[in-house]
Amino acid sequence: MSWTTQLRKGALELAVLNALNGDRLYGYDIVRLLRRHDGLMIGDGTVYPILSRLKADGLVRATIEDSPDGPPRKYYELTRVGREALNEMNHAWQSLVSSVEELRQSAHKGNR
Amino acid sequence: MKTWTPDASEHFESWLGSVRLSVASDPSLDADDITQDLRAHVHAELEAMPEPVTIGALDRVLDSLGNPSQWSETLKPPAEPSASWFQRHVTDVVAEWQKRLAGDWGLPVMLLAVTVLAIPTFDWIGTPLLLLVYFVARAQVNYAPQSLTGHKKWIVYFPLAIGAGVLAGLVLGFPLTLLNGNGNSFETMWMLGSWWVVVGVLAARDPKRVQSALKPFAGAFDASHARLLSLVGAAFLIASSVILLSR
Repeated sequence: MSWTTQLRKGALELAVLNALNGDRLYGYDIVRLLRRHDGLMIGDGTVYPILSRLKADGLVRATIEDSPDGPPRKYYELTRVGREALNEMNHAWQSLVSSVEELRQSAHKGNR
Repeated sequence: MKTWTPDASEHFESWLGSVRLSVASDPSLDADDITQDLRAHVHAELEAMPEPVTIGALDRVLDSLGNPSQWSETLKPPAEPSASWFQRHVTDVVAEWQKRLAGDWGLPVMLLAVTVLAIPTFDWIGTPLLLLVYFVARAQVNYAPQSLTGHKKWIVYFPLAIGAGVLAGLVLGFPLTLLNGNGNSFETMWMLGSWWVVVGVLAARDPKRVQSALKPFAGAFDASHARLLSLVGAAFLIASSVILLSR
């Protein structure tokens, strides 16, 4: 498995949580939102096991609503625990990105 | 909701079955949750497509979803580099079979296994077991026919056929259980003949009940078959009465 695929897999859970931050979306809405951002998606279906895992972990809750166009849709939203976890994950991500960027910049400038 | 070709519907249900199998090994994933989301996703993607939805259009959507076997891999930590011989040849094989049985194959395989075990113990334990299997298999055929694709269908139809045979045998041979080995052959013939006349008359009045009880094997049953049973019964009854009275 390529390094980029591994990186995407790690980032996808964070991306799904961020997509739900302040929003109530059903699975397909989340997929469409993530599709707009290059390099995030591996296959559309990957999102659904992540949602199932997040729900089992209590980070999101789901409510089912009928749809006039097809089968019922499951709308997801963050729980309080989910919002707290997302804050922590966003901080960790920011810190990771900053550190890698600093290293990259310093290597580029040659000041080590 | 859009109409689908039968091929496309069957293909989609079979694909959802493979999704269930793929996620079954991970207890933190809920297969029902995932398949429910996937149904909504696929229907939303196909909303703009012309009707009826064909297998080709469906396949394009399924391709965009990616390979289900890789989704649960997404959530797994990287595999240990060296698995032992025992792990590869025993644990993994057992886990694979558990995964299959936990998926859509579980019920058909269980029905087949109980049928095979029940046949040698036919009399006491086997008969109620076969009837139980028959009703479960019938429920599967009636209420979840979409889950019975390919070989799964025939695995469920076998216990269903055995169960239907046992049920029909128990109904038609009911006087034999009353006689319980007593009585000579002409008395047995008289009892069977009288019973078949009654069963035939009742079945001729409402053949749909027979079709429903023995579904899907009695679809062609109608009042003429029921009358034929009554006639055979009447012939048995008359012949045995003449012999019994002439003695």
